Amino acid sequence: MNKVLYNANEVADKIRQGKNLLLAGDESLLRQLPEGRWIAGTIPYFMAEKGGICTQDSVFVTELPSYITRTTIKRYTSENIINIYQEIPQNGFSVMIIPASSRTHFSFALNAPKYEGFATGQLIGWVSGVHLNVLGKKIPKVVYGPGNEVLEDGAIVMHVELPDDKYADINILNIFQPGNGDSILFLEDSFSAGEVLINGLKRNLADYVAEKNLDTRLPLVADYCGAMINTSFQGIDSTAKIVNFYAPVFRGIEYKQAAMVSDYVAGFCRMMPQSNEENIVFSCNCILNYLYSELESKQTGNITGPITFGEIAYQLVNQTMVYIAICDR
Amino acid sequence: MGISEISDDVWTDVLLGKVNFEFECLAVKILLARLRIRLNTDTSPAAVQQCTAELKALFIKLEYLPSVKNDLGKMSRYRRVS
Repeated sequence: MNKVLYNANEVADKIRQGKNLLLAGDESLLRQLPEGRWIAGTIPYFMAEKGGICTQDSVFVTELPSYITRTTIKRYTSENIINIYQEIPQNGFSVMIIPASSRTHFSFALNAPKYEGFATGQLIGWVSGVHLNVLGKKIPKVVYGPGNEVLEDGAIVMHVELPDDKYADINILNIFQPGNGDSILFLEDSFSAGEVLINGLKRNLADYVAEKNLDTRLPLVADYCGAMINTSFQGIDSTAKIVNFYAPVFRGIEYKQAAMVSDYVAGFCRMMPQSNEENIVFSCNCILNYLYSELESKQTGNITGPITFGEIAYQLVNQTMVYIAICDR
Repeated sequence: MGISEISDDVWTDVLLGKVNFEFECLAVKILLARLRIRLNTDTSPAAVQQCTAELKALFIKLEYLPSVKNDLGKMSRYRRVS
């Protein structure tokens, strides 16, 4: 497998060579890098060439292929992120990185489906994070490479144009399937919920989760016309009787808790589309899969990438691997 | 099969869930699910027309994807039973 983790000096060399880079690493390393054609997010967890690893000494590097015709790197705020789908190149794709729990993160997560041109362009990306030991103490960041500008809020996007003989295709790999449990409907679009409809009857979700002793490591799964989209439990505030999620739940969509998965790695490898694997240029997987499936030191086939606080495949998704392949027409 | 050859009736049936194809393209699945939610609360002709325009726009923009071509093929073979 190709090398993906580099020290700061090696990454700086690549930047000076003018390569288009997608980077992930500890903030202290990213701050050392020279200006150039790169974007980055903070995270110390990776699926690297030797398997899952947590390190603050290396930067994960995705070097875009030399045949790409043009890249444009742009900063977005919670105000102009609304334009994102209209600015994705017609033949190409865009990679977006957003800091976890930032205004832009919440705005994009909740409102993207209402943006003009939603899902009509190839948008992939991830949500940056921090080491779990400093969760709540340190703030996730993104970095605008052309100015080596470190941001706590906003989204950094690399718009990538491809030659006419290539196309990009985004997909997800989600090993979770809805279980046989109750149907859950939410009353509003939100990152948290109190009252919900369980099999059509109004109930408090926090009470329901406690009563049923649900394993909250298993996400809620919604069937989007055949695409299984997860929303992960963040925690339960039993005093306020509120359930918090890592991504929004949406009114009008039926959710069910996922069925148990006995072996994540085996399930993952079984679902990996072998025919497309060599064309994958970028992928990322969720920190919750890394933690709950104990992926440290384990490999998920030949797939590498940052381990993230949220994944973007047209919209924000959870507990899912997202990937983009570039193929010949 | 071009997008223009698929009749408005087919787009409407797809959007209102009267027919369910096993679509391949992830973007199609996600957008269609969202549009169906919107139409759950408003099935007026204007709402259906707006959603049709949005779904068609996706097919036009991503028509180069093999998965979208396959999805168009499925729609083109559909005949409404009256």
